[in-house]
Amino acid sequence: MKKVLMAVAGVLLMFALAACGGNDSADSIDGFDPDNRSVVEIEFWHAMTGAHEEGIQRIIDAFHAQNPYVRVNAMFQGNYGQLSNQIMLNDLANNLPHIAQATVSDVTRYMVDGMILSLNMFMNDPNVGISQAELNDIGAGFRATSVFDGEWYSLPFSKSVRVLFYNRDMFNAAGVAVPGTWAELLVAAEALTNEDEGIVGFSFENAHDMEFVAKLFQLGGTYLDEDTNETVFASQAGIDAMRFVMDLINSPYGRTAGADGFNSGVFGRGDIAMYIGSSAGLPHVTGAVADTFDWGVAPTPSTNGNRAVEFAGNDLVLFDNSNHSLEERIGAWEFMAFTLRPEIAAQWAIDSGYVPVTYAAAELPMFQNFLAANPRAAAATYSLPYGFFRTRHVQGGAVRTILMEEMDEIRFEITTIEAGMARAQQRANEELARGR
Amino acid sequence: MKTINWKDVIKKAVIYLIVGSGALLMIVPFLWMLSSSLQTSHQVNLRPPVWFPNPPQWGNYQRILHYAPYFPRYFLNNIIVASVGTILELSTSILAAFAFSRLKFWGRDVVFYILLATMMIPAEIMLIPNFLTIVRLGWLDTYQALIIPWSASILSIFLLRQFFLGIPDSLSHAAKVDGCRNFRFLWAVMVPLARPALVTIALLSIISSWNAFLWPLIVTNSHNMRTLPLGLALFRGEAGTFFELLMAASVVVVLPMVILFVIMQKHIVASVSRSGLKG
Repeated sequence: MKKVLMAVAGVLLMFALAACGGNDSADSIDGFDPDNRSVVEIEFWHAMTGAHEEGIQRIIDAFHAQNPYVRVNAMFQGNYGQLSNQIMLNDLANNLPHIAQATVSDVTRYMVDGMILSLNMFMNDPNVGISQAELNDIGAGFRATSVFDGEWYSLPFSKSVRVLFYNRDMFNAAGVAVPGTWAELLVAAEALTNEDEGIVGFSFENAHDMEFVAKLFQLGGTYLDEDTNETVFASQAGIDAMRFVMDLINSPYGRTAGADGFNSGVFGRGDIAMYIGSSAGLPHVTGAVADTFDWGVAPTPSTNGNRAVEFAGNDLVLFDNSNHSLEERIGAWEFMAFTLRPEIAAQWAIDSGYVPVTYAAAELPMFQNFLAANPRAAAATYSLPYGFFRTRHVQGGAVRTILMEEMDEIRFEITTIEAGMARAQQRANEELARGR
Repeated sequence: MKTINWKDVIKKAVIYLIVGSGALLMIVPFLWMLSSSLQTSHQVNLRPPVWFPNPPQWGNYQRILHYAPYFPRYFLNNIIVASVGTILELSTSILAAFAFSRLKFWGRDVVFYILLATMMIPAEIMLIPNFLTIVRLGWLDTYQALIIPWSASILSIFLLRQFFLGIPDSLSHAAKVDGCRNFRFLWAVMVPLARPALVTIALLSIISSWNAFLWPLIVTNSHNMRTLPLGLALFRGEAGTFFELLMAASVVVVLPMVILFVIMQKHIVASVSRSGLKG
């Protein structure tokens, strides 16, 4: 409980420190009469399934109960990639929804292409706006990807962080403590590996570029320089980070999820002692383990006292479509703003397993009680102050694909770490230059 | 006394062994799908795999509805789209094939070859133009969008035309002597004779319609209009897959096709053996 309170305090501090800048525009909505409204229908496209989709519907139901003029229809559009393609396709046909989930690089792409509206006008309206304090309540890491030149283009919605899942029974049997640093993780992985029983100490998810980037940031490196529009990950810090990841993967006590896709199943059948994955994977691990052993969730390891953990997830954006009336846009904005209300954001975090995006939500007794009753969810909240997004560049996805391709070449020793990193950076910069 | 022809026995044994191995290879994925649909989420990840879950998790089939409450609607949509689409495709194919094989009009073969040439255009290239057409017609998120674009198939027309060309002209002449007009001749003589080809075309149409993913994904937005293959995507999240539910849902998706195959088995074999066509 003490750790949980400290985590919440950390979040509080982060948000308090981040409480600067933001909504200082004098914009507001012309031609909007709050006393003369008609009922409008809003389309909300998302990529959420199962409990997440139920959580969205719960938000909508709560919104409908308080707002009789706006009806929100949530529509599942496939996975994130399919949702993104759907949006680009429907943009061609001038058939965009009012609101959609968008990845960080998609937010930038939509903003650059003029597909989404600046939210400042709505934020500042005396009738439907939200206060500066409420905006400052959003985590700094999340705000960094929403604000461009003082204009808000998105609001954070479904955000996850990387966490360490570990088999507590195996740790106890081997007398090993949960690692707090990468050095401790190496020692623990070696001690927990049992080749006779086919147990590997540590496993990366297939998207292990996230651990490379976390290690890169912990070593003081950076990924992409937005000023020069060039990647800078092939620095000495990057080479050291890559060497660490590759040495671990290729050692007898490291592996990746491989054909299993995700580590939840591998972990559930006891083939690995620990792995780093998305906090959104909690329900999958719960099902895969099914009480066959005791397990826990911890924050990801640090390097030399430096914590850095990559955020993942989606924002909400408001599309600029000529078919949408002003009243519809206002209704859509009201729903977006509604998701930031502390009790709504907290309930969404509880329902979905995503991290709360506002300080007030993290502080609410209902969320603290939830953490107390579900200590496995606390690691993600603890990591919030250390979260970062590697880039919000519009070509972030393309750069990531290049990096992962070169990581495969390095992993299978087709190239050396230095040569692979240099080529990844060169290819990424050529890609960025083409899209400049 | 009857002597055993060992050469014959060995030949048959080898054939049965090869065919049996092939059958086993084909059926194992189905058995695994059925088995894993009855497992817990823990069991489904175990290695070596659990083939006979005890007790079987029949509740997984109920959990499909909890996890994807619109699944029955998806099922209904699949039936509507597959059945109406197949009827339309058969209708247009029969009429077009008859025209291209029996009717004589200026430019007939040129038009036919132009139609054939369109088969060279990858479907992906037509995706955006077709989508824009659907939007301009105001058909987004409707059955029309799911059915109409696939209600004519050049491949089906081609297959049926070739079949019709193989039917002797003497039948047509005899029918005309008996007072048959073109439509009557088509309906009463050609269609019954072409039944093997029609069964093949119908099966190809049903299967492609039943399994379609990309087109339904882009032309539908609401759960009310979605189809089963899209429903399967609901069981895969961003951080993992609920394999036992996915497999249970897959059983529900595949079962109608299996039942259809069992019912139509005789016709399918006949169509393959008589027309040389296969699905």
